[in-house]
Amino acid sequence: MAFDAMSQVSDEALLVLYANGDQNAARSLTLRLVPRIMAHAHRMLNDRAEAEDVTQEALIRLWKIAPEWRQGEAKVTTWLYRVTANLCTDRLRKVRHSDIEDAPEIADGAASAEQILIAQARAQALNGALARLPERQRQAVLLRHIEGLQNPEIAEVMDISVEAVESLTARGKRSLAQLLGKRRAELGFYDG
Amino acid sequence: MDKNRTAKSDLSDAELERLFQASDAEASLPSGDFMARILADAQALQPQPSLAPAPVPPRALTQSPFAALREALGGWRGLSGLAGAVATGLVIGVFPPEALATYADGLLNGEALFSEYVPGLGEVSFDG
Repeated sequence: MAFDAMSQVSDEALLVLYANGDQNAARSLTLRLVPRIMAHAHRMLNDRAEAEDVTQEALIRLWKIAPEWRQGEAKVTTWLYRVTANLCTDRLRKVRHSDIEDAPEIADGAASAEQILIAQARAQALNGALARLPERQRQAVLLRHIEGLQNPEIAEVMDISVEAVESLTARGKRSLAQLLGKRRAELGFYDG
Repeated sequence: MDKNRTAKSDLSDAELERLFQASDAEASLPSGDFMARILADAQALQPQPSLAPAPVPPRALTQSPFAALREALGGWRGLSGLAGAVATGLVIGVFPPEALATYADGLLNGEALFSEYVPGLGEVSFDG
């Protein structure tokens, strides 16, 4: 199958094609899934090298399970987010003993504020604030408001109820609003 | 006023949403090297198409000629059946039954009728 014809094929069908030896399917899945998983892992861990390790491990697990994948039982993205979440949790537990105050500070843009775009400053500030949230709140907020997943899918990824997802995202957003509110002028929000 | 906003300085939902959008736009993109590494994993772990010839079992490369003959004849069950047939043929050849000798003579002289040896066959109509 031609590579450009893959855009209409679902992730699940691509995975079956991959298991049948289709090399275009491997390439298409890689291009489609890796940026999303990498970005999510990076936001969860706030460390690019760790995020790459987690992404690679998650994808290896996907390639290995491909021959046993049964269509209709789960979405590939849901499965992958779940594996990624578990891998991130494992890594975060290893550093949990460190003081919460050791979490990366919100980027201090005082020296470089004029050199970077406002969007970059906002993204950095948000990442810094996200790193200060409890892990489950951070994960729920990321999946809902940045990855764009619906609450039932997030519930499946996190293995909790939809109500619990709503509670986590609400608390997470409230914390972010407080943390980032202190830097509103710096972020270009003047009309508070 | 946003109902989730608890203090004047807190960001509103709309302001938070703008930050989420900015974060999405600034998502850390995987490098080309990293993508190549993932693709190499995918190719290394990819099952091969089923059109490939089935691998030859190692046993077939090392078995003795007798074992190969045995396998060709259907294993031990086929071999024992063949041995039984050979023994039976030998016994019949050495000690032929009288009836068989009579039938053989009849065949050779053109006088024997098969119906003589199959009771009731003569009463069966073959007219369709």
